[in-house]
Amino acid sequence: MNQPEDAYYIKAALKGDTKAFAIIVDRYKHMVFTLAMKMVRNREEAEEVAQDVFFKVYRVLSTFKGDAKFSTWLYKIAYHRSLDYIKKQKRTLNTSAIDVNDHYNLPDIAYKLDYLEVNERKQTIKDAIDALPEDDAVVITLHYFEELSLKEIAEIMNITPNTVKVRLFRSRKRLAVLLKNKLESEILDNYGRK
Amino acid sequence: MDENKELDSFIRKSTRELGLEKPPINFTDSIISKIEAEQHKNTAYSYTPIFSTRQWVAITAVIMSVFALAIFGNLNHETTAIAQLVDKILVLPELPVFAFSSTFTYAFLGVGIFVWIQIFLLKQQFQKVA
Repeated sequence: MNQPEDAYYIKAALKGDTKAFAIIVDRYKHMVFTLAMKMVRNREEAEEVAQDVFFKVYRVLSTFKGDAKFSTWLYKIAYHRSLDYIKKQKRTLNTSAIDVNDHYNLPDIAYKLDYLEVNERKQTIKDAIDALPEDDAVVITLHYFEELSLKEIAEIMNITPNTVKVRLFRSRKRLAVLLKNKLESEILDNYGRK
Repeated sequence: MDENKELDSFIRKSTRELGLEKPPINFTDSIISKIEAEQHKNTAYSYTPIFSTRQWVAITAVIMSVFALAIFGNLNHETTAIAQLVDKILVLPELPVFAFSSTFTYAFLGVGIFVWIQIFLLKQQFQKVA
């Protein structure tokens, strides 16, 4: 997934080769769709936003100068397109009610997660990320799923790298608190069933 | 600091197991068919102006020159070939002598420039919306 390969397909797509563009879509659709999901919180709406992103990207592909990574440019469009969609729906971004100073015990969370079945564990982590405010979920997604640097995330979200650093620090803590709460409620549920 | 690092590696491990969301199977096909439909629509109803920009510039320059000559030229209508040509084009017997003040000329030019800028900006705005 390196730069020259992207550049090759971009060049072909600019000449009207839709098959080349289909390769670009296949390459990035999971991340764009995930970003849209974290922002709009609904599968159908996320699909609409993600399709709209690629449609727009095809139309403005000639404006991609290649000074940044194509993925960064694409994710920036996806993030801002999602924000526009939320605004159009007259919705606002959620703010977190989770206190970052809440106590959690990491070895305990890890132990309880290991105790769960694979699918159950995945669902618990997914639910916890989805319970984060949109911007926190985006920062976590870009940093941990796509392994982007603070600078790249800052470029995508139009904020400073330092703000990303602070947001990432808080998002991690919130995620740990959410995981702790979810695991506790699941254990209580399981205990109740028995 | 250590706690932060531990949390970082714990989340990294957990998210690696989770993976990304999966879009519907026909996601790519649906985008490509939308793009192809748009391309087809554009070629079927492509707008080609009757006069190109260059032709418009040439036409405007000619008309402006003729008017400028007629108004400011102070031509000798009996001898000059250009004056006779201007007379033929405009088919006007004799234009009265116009005298514009400098203020009027500058105001007229100023308004003209603003109108031109607005047309340019509006065109850009409409293209953005489309």
